[in-house]
Amino acid sequence: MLLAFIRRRRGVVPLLLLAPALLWLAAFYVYPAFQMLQASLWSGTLETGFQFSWSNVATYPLALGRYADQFTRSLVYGAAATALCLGLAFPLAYFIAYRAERWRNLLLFIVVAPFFTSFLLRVIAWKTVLGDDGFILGPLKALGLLSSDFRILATPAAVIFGIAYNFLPFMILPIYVSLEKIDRRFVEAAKDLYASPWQAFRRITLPLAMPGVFAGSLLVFIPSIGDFVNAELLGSAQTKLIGNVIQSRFLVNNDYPVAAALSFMLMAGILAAVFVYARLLGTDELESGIG
Amino acid sequence: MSDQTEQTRDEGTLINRRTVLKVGALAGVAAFLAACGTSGSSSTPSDSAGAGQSVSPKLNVANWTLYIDLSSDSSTRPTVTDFETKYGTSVNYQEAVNDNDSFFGTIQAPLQAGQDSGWDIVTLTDWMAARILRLGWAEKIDKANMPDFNANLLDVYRGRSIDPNVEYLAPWAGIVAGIAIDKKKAAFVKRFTDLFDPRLKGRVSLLTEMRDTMGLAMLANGDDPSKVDRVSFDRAIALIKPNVASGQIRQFTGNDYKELIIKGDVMACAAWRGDVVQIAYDSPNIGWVTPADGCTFASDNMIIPLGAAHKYTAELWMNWYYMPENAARLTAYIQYVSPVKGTKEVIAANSDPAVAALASDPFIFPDATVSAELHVFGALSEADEKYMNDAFSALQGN
Repeated sequence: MLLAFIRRRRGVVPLLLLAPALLWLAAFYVYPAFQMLQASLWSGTLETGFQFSWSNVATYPLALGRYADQFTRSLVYGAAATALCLGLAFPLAYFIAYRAERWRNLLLFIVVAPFFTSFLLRVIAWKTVLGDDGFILGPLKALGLLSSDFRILATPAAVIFGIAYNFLPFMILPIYVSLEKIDRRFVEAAKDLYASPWQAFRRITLPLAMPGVFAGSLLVFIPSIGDFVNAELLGSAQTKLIGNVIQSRFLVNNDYPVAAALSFMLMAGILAAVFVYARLLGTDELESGIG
Repeated sequence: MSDQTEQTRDEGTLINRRTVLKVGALAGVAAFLAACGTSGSSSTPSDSAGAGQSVSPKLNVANWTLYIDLSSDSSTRPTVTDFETKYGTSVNYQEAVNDNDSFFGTIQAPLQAGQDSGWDIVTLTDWMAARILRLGWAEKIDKANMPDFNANLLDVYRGRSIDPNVEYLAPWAGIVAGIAIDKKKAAFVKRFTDLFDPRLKGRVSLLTEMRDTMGLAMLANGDDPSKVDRVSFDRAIALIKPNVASGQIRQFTGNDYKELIIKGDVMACAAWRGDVVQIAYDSPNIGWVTPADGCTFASDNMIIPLGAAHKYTAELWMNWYYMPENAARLTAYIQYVSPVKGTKEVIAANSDPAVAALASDPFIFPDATVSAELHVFGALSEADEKYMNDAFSALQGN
């Protein structure tokens, strides 16, 4: 009977296919987001209770002003980590796609291997690896190549490296996929037309790999901005990101309105950044990159 | 702590903290799994004070990690098992409190809605207990059910500003905060301000627990944390802030300063005394320093949340740990400050000299000298607490 109904009204099929995801989004994204919007317009405290008023919209500019440093830092660190990932991922993905041959599957496995351990453990491992007297800095200091008070942990570099390390596979895999599906005959044709290897790469391979670059950048940049674990464990008081502020406002200070307002502005900020990025690369890339 | 305390005891007698370390890994994993397993089973709404004076078949207790005595193979909690046997109940003992704030987050919604939080006993630090009392989220204890508590609560816990008439709180144990040092690199540290010595640049951590860090800084400024106000608090912020900006202070930490100081990334830090004793067992170069300006002191308190389903049994539980022999078994094991009269005498009378020696440890049974060095952070109004939490968050970059 259901089948007959579907057969008669084929337009229903896409809706049926979408329904689980839509229900999921409604229950776990739209509804909480609405609640958060409401909380951002509260005033009061836990002990006196919270009251809703539209006039509390003033919380937004106040919170933005107060935490401008952490917002800026999140954007800068996110962009730096994304650029670092791109720099590391592109050559590697290129190698895996074109040069690795029978090692390809093994290399892809190695790229994904860190994901078999918990995110938190990977960050904590970095604390050991990069320890002030750990097995990397320790010998270098002993040889006099670094001054004894040199450190990486509790610096911006540690936070950026940590983010880049944790999200690197999200950059490698999409770039690999887009490189791998390029028809190599285009490159051969370019060479037949006397293009140098560099020209062929710049005019053929790179443009065709852009959807992967675009998708990878988004997959790295968006979670980077909201990250707080790396900053909490690898950073210092000077490297706190907006995610740390939101966490602290919600759980330590019980300041729900400011926490909710900051979360909303973060979401808006990410959307704006992605929009600008999409315009720079052209919306075709957005569609082919994500679609 | 002397080497003597590293000996262990057979089941059925007092077991000291060293046992935990020997079986530490397994116990830790088990405790962690247990803590992950539940966030408080829900119970029917309270039978309310006075109504049911019979022992309930179940009691739900929330406490901190490593805060209860374990048998020598860590399979049972002797004082809990004996409580169950004596009263014919079953205790759902969960190490559910990782820190005050996050635990508060788990009970806040039901209590605000006037519902049972699922716990009959929660164990929280003074300031969080004060907040619970301000919110009116605690049951008044019926002391008629608690003769040992009435008789054996140490006098210093009577007339406390957070619970002046001892109507709500039964202290579980006391915690001292001071300084831990790497003896090879920071032996010169004698007081809080020594942490700002250029030789320790970038190798110092402070605690994220506001009252401990700020209390130590206030003492260094010559201010009394028990009389904290915004002026003295701001002075303490001003003492620390330039050292955060200059990178002298590497980080603010919870318990994770342990790993930092063991690895050597941190050479000196604000720390809890019980932890330092444990760290020193395996890393003898780490030592405790009682800051010349004094230590901060706080207590964790048993509270019966409003609407708890098994209030009478919860009162029996509180009373149980005020029987000196039970308190002694607990204290010999966890080695935190005992709030129970008579505990010291029971421990001192133990046939094992290693256990008996604990009776003269001033950080378990503070003598006049150590007591004078312990300072409790004053109770705060909600407005002041918000003000200080905000300033302390900003200090940490949040």
